[in-house]
Order: sequence, then C-alpha cells, then structure tokens
Amino acid sequence: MGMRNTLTAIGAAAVLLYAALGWAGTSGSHEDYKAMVAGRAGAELVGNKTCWNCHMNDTHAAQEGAVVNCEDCHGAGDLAVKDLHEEKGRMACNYKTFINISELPKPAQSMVCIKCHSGNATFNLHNWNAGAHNLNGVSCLDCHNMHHGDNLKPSRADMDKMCYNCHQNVRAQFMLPTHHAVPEGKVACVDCHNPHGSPNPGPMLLRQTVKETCVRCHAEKEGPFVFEHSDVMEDCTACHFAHGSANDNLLAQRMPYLCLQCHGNHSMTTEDTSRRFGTNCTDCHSSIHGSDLNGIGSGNGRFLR
Amino acid sequence: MARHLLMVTLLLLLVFPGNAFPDTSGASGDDAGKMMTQEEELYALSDYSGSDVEMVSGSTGETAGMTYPPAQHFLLRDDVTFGLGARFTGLTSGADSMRAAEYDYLHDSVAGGLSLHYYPLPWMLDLDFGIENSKDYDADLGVKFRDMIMLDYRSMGMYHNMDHNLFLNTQAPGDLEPDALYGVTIRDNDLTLTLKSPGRPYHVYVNLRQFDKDGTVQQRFDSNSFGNNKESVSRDIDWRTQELTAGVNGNVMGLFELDYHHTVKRFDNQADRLMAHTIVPPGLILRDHNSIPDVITHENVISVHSNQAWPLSGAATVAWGSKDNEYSGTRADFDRYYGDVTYRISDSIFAAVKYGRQNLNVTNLDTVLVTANMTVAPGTAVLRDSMSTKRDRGEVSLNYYPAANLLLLAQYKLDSVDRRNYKGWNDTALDDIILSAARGSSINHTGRLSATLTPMKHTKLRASFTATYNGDPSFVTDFQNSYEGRVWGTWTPSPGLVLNADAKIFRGDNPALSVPSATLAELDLNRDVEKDTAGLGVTWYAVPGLTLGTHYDYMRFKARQTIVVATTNIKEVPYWDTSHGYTVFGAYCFQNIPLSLAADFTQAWTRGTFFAETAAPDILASLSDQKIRDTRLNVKADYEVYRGWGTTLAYGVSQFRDMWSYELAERNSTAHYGSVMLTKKFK
Repeated sequence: MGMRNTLTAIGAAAVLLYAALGWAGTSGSHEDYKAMVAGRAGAELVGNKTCWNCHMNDTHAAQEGAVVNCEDCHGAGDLAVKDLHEEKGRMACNYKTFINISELPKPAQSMVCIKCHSGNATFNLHNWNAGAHNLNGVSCLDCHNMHHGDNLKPSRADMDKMCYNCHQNVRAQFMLPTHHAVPEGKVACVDCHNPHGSPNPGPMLLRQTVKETCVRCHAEKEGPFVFEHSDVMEDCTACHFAHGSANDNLLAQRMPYLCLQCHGNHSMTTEDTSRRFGTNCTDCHSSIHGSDLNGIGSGNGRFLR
Repeated sequence: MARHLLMVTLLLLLVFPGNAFPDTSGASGDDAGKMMTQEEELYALSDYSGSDVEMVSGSTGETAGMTYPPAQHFLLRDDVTFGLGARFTGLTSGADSMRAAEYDYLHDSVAGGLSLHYYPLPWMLDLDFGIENSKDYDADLGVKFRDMIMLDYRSMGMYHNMDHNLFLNTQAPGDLEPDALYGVTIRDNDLTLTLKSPGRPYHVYVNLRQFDKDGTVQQRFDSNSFGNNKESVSRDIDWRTQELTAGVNGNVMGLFELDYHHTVKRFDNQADRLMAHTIVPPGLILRDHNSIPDVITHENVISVHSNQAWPLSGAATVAWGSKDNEYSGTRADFDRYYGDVTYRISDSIFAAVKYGRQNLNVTNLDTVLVTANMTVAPGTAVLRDSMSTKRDRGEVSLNYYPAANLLLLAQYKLDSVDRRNYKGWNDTALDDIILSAARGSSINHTGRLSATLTPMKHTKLRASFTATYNGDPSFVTDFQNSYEGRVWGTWTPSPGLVLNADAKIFRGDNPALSVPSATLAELDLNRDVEKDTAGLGVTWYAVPGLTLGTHYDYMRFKARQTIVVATTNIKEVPYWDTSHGYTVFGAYCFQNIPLSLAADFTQAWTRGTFFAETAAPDILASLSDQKIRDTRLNVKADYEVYRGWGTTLAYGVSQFRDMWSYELAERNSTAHYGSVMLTKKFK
C-alpha cells in the first residue's frame, strides 16, 4: 500500500471516527470539565483572604496580586465556610462541598491547570493535550504537588525516583554498567524528555528528533558530514540504548556483533576470522558517526578516517 | 564558573544575613536538642505564633471572630542552609581503569553547599548550590518578580573518567601510550530570562546555553588500511557548544496563542580539528584522521495552539533551518511540520490525532579529496550524492473512561520513511555494505491497546499490548513483526506499605532478509529478538521515622541472527545480555535525638555472550563474553548539634568487577568516598 493510500485511509478513518464519536458523545454533558473550567455551580465566592485564615502559606495563592485564587481550582467556597465545624479536635470547613478533583477523570483533573496555563502563553504545555502523558491517564497533579514546597516544579534531585514510579523498567536500565549519569544526580530525565509532550509523534523528547536531543551534549557527532552513516545517524537509538546498557558506550550490543548484524560479510576470506570476530570495529572504522575525510578508494567513504 | 558561583553565594550571604530568618524550629532554649514530631513541625512551619488568628475582614459574618488552626501542610517559608566541609576519595584499580568512579573527579577537596529560599513577596528567590570539588558542582538559581520577570539559571559541572581500551588483536604500532589516563571535564551553563508584560499574556524570552567538554580522550584508528595495524594515541579536546534562542509569544484575541523563536547554535572545536599518524611506516604517506568539524545551525520555529481547555483544540509547529559543516562545506537543510488535534467528545471520551513530517536534504560538493593510496599522490574522486530523507509519522488515539477510575486507550501509529539517492549508497560492488542496503521506502504500522485501573486510592494497575508490522523494514535491525506486552502496578494494601511490580515482554523478528547482491548467492537470513524486563519493589514505613525498602530488577536481551561469513556460508549467531539488579535501602530518623541515618546498597550483575560458530582465536572470548558485577554502598548521618548547627557524615564505596579473567579484568576498580560537613540552618 502506497503512502498516499495509507494517508487516505487514515484520513477516512479519522473522519468516520470523528462522526461516530460525535454521535456517541451527544449525550455527554461535559459537566466534569465545566466544573473544572467554570468552577462549582450554586456557590458564591468568598475570596482568598477567607481561606488564608487557615491556609495562609499556599505557594500559588500567597502571591500578592492574587495571580491564583484558591477558588480558581477548588470552586466557590461559601458553602464550605458556612459549615465550619470541629473535626478531629480542629476547626474545619466543609471541604466536601468543594470540587472533588481526585474523583475526576485525569484529563479533567489537568483542566484545572490548563484553563489558565493555556491562556497565558506558557508554551511548555503546547503539546500537552495530545501528549503521551495526557493520553495515558497522567494528570498535572501526578507530578506537581500544588501545595507543597517553594517551587511547584519537581526537583532535579528527586525527579528520577518520581518517574520510576511508573517507568520502573527504566530504573533497571540505569543500574546497568554503563549509563547516563542519572543515578549520580548529574543528568535528570528532563534533560532529554519533555513530560508535557512533544510535537513529534515519537517519545516525549525534549527536541524535535532523537538526534537533535542527543547532540545537545554530543554536538561533535552532529554533522552533517561528507560521509554520513546512511540515515542511521538520524536515530542514535539504532546503535545505542539511551538510558543504560550492559555494554561500553551505551551500545545496544557489543561490537563486533552490533555491526555484523548489518555488515556481516565484512572480508570474505576465512582467515580474517580474527579481524571479523576478534576486533572492535571502531578500532579501524574510527569515524563511525560520520567523516569528512575519504579513505583509500573512490569517494565512497568507509569511516576509516 | 565554580569560583564565580562561590562568590555569588558569599555575596548573597552578606546581603541576607542569618538573623533575617527567625528560627521557628522550636529547637531553641529549653527545647534545644528535642526533635519535634511531624505534626509539631508542620505547626512550626506555618509561622503560627500561637495567638488566635482573627478572621480577616471581608469574610462571611457567621465565622467572624472564630479561631482557626494554623496551616498544616502548605509550605512557603524563608530558609537558608549552609554547609562547609571536606571530601576525601580513594581508588584501587587496574592499570587503566577508573570504572568504579566513572562520574567522579578523584581528588580530595573542600566541599560545601548553600540552599537559600527567600520570599520577600512579590519577589521570590531560590538558590540551591552544591560543590564537591572544582569539577563537580551543581547550581540552580531562580528569581521571580510576580509573573513578570522570571530568571532561571542552572550550572552543572562533572568529570567523566574514560576507559583506556586495549587492542585485542593488532600489529605494530599498537598502543603508543599504554599508561595514559583519559577523562573529560563537562560544564553545562543554561540561563533563561522571560519577561512578561504586566497584566497581559505577552512574553519575550531569551535562552543562553554553553556546553563545554575539555580533556583528553583515546583515539584509535587504522594505521595504514592494510593488514591489521592499528594505533592508539591521546587526543586533547576542547569542544564548546553555544546556543542562543530568542523568542516572543502571546495570546491572540483570546482565541489562540502564537510563539516564534530563532535559535543559533554553534559547535566550536577549539582544539585539533584533525588527527595524524604518529608513526608513518616507510613508503607510506602521512594521512589525516578523525576530523571534528565546526558546525553552525540556524533554526526558526513557529508554534500555534488553540485554547487547550476547549473541547476541540489543536496545536501546530513549523520549523525550518540549516546546518553547515564549516570544514567540508556539507550542508543539511531541514523543515519539519507537526500538528495535533484533540477532541473531547464527552466527559468520558477523548480522541487525538497527531501528524509530523520531517524533510532532510543533505548537499555536498561534487568531488572529494582522496587521500593517497600507498605512495600515490592525493587526488579527487566523484562523490556520491548524499542520502536525503522524508519521514512521516502519524498517530490516532482514542481514550475512553467508562468510569473515573478506568481508562481504556486504543492507538494506531504510522511511521514512514522515504529516501532519496539511496541506490547510490547500496553499491553492491562494495561487499561490506550489502546487508546494510537501505530501502527506498519503509512503513511501520503499530497498534496499541491499554487499560489502566485505579481500584482504590494510591493503587493503580495497567496492562498494554502493542503490535507492529512493517512489510519492508528499513534495516536489518528493524522488525517485520513485533509484539510487546506489559503489566504494571502499584498497590498500597495498607497505610505504610507500598508494592510496585512491572513486567514487559517483547518479541520481534525480521524473517525475510534478502541479500541484494549480484556477486553473492541468494541467501536466506533470519533475525529474532527477545527483550524482557521485570521489576518488583517494596517500601515499608515500618514505625514512625523508619523507612525500609527493596527492589529487584531483571533485564534480558536475546537475539539470534544468521550472519554471512563467506560467499555461500551463513551462520546463526546467538547473542544475549542479562542483568539482575537489587537495591536495599533504609532511613531512620530518631525520635528523641536530632539524628537521622540513611543507607542504601545496590548490586547489579550483568552477563552476556555471543558465539560465532567459526574457528576463532582464544582472544575472541574476552571480547564476546562479559560478566560484570557493579556494587555500591552509601551511608549518611545527619546530626543537629545545637540551634541549627549540625554535621553531616557520609561514606560511599563503589566497586566494578569484570568477572571474566581475560585482559578486560584490568578494568577492575574500587572507589571510596567520604565527606565531613558542618552545616547551619537558618529559618
């Protein structure tokens, strides 16, 4: 099936899907989302200062000028403060009258943040809606603790442990003998990934392509070179594992097996077995990431120099 | 840079002396030395003076005059923690390896740190700075004025010890510097300044990043392209990447948001651009090697998205630019287009469509300088046209929440690559690239189903299945068919006990490899890959102050591929790697004395091998097989001596063992670290 036919089929499927879902969704009330965006219906606003009597140190709310009001997220609060009562030896408002954020679907939970952060040109959320986290049921609240600490961003020091909660297999990769310096605290997940989503349909990378992400730090391998390693160089993960590897230099497999997979018939004479199986290929092909220098021969390039 | 940061730190200390931050910890006077309970600490952190707090004006009448408890878990407080001490290191090692201390600069040094959080609202200042030695440091600085001025600066320094790799099979000249040690200092400085117009969502921002690598690395190369002569020498490197991004963005009429930014990135090789043979055999000509060219990149990016709170929303990104190799004149022009549309049909149904296209056009000169072959003088040769690519990627997703605690997700993904000039690179006359022949076009189709269930609070279960098909994989290592299944869960059966489990199985094959060669007999090749992972973790908050935990991780990679070893001879070559890793950790905060202890122990066993079913020298075993044990132990104690004055003692040991008793065993090494720090905390 040609590319054009494939895209046509996808387009047709998308239109049908849109129509079907539109029909299925006509009974959808969007009430949860309305509640998140517009606040709780049937209650009156009481203002931040009422809340601050007890909750005076909230990072979001405490900023002068009321950048964020408590009720922006929790809904109007007059029903809550009208029903002040003692609970477990302390005075408490009737918090059950607030929007129960934790009971909402995850995309609706995120809406409490999106409704503002999509309106004030915070472009780090540019691809949030179609991002892998939103699609897989991860909300803003799963990573950001709105009421804790001096900064709502997860700290770099604790980030890996937070991400391992879901990405447990990645922790195993970082335990391997060669790894990026994440366990050592020198590299953080956000140095390569954008947890808010990426324009690229691939993994949530910080940059638009795998190569662009890697050459942030490994720019000496960026090129372009006269002799490129085909278009393999556009995807570094063809030969390297990004998190950790059992092999040196984060190689996906040890040399020479790594290279023999594609270049198995190197030197066709049997006496060269030792060269083929007993040598690191890059001992000779030392410019394997690309070269500007021709070797012997006719301008084909073999990354020998 | 570290020196500058230290100066900034000292200046900040002068500007914000410790007595500016009243001590509200309660650990003063008669209470000194008494540890607070968590509840007491939270009270103290609330700045609650103990007197009744009157309801502020404007509150509802019914509650006026009542007293309220202090804040319980909302933290925004000024504090400063300062530490100064010494760090000691030691290493026992084989002749050429610091593998146990791969990311550590092994020198005794003064160490210190500063954590400063100061909020004279509407200003906010956060600084976290730690330094272990002149090459290992980390600093994060944030300054905000309301939301109108936002400054973020991060500085990181580290030292990377590099292996000295041995030649396993070579003839003279060989390793010319057998005792050389290699390592690179890495410095990363990243500053972002964002200015926002008051009360209006318009921003101007600039990002400056400088990334430096400076040190000595090993360079190995073919000495004369004939026989088995290889040479290893040191190369001094001094590489600098500078990146400047400037942009503007804003909300347009409340309907959509627009961002434009331009980036200039320059990679500058400030050391030798080329290497040359140290020894030139008689009759041969000196040749250049291993070029590292300067590269300059320009990129323009326009992004636009609708209000993402709308039921129907979208985002689009257009990027275009170029990369220029300033040594060879090679140029790569690129343009990229990405877009997504999301549609919230109802509270419980959510659909998303994503599409991206990447065009890459590489252009070269028509001819290339050919270095001499033996004694023949250099000349020029016709250069093949560079390979250029067009890549399309699409994704359609459908989310369905039958209940708030259950998510069902169905996805289809398309990944298509088209190559231009690929035939010129599939030159069958070159017998060593036949199997690497790239296809003109290749399309991956992937389907994924997943279910996520939250049966109770703090408990989540997920299962997913992914299948991929590609009728004509681009490369040998791509798959024609692949399947992946994964189950994952976190479970809190009782307060204080958390269980995590994760298992993933992957199977992929490429059963129809062909050999597009006129010179070889048609051979039937095959490739199968298995990748499995599993993990299990337990964390137990046993008693107040005590946390215990452990986790175990398993990984397995196995491949079987038929590899051409002679014109009509193929061999199935199995390859596998496995690893077992486990960690045990614990922390205890004493209830009656201001002392806390923490320790963790990690060990990972990694084994792997591959066998070529051909006669091979003994030395093959040392290259193809490996058995590595990595062990780490860290112990740390914090003790508050008097009124915020405290001390921190830390010890760590890291051991790398190559359990295979061949040449590579010289990589064995053990590193020790110890530090003593005096700290003072102001609140």
